[in-house]
Amino acid sequence: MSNDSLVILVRHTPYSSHHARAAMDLTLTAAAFDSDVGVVFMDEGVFQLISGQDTGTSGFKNVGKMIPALAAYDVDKVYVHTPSAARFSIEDEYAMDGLLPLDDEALKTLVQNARHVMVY
Amino acid sequence: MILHTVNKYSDCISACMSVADKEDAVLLLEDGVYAALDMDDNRHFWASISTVSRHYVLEADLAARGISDKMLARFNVVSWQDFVALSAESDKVISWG
Amino acid sequence: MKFSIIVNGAPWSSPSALSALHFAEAVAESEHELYRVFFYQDGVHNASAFVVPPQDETDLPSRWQRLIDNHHVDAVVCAASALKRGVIDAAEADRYEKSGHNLLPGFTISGLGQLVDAFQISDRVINFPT
Repeated sequence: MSNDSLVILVRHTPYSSHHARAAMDLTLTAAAFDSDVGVVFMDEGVFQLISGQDTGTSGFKNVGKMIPALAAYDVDKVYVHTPSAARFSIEDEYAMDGLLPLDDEALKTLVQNARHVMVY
Repeated sequence: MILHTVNKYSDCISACMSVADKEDAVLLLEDGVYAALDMDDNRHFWASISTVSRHYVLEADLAARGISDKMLARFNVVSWQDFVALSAESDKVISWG
Repeated sequence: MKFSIIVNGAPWSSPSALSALHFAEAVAESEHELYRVFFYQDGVHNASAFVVPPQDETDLPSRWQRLIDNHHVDAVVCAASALKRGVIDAAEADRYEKSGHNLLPGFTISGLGQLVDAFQISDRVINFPT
């Protein structure tokens, strides 16, 4: 990533708090402002990637449906922390194609090299 | 050097440590200061961590919790002004909470 | 060095708003520049004129105002977060036909682009999560 990069670490489940929406809003806004932005789904954040989220009865804004929108808004650096996905056994259930896998070492490198890092 | 700040006594400390490097620093504030308390769980935790070589804890939050004299020796007590200086010295600040 | 700060917590709901204030004051009094303080999510309540603090507790909205006035701080309240939580200025009160407005003087309401700008311009961005 460039010297101007912003890495957003997404660690929370999709419907526990404002974190999921806030991370998505910041990612999309950063992309709209031509920031070099990357988003990493890790720890319990990988639950946001599960396809088939149905919020019709609950009334929440559907986080799963927002994930594929990242590509539509030119966010091409969307990563999944593979140890987290394996831990929660969700590797085959992603809501979007083209997720870039990151192991522990690659995640550490990405974080170390970014200009700014936000944790949600 | 990255300055990692942790404001909770929870698993976010482990997440922080897993992406930290050996040269990095950690600063505990708010309820995060309980991770600096000298007791078995904390002693074992910090002994098991191979990343992070500088450990700081915010004085005001220690004092508020009445635990200023109960800390692990590896932690250096800092003021808000020190927090600013450490932030400037670092390459970036990552807040875990 | 340019610092920006993100405030996510409402006054008294968590310690984070007060932590953010202490840090902001320390930056303002240092050799460094406080580029922007961005009030996001529940942090927008720090900018509300309708907050009545308990007598024996820190009056966070007033302390922020004092910091803004004394050091000419760019204090930005996220528009989307503010609307959802009922922190609105006169223009929005008019637009949405609300019975009053409560944005404290010194704060401005703007979009999330101002936070992105803070990331692009600042050397250090310190987030205070709830």
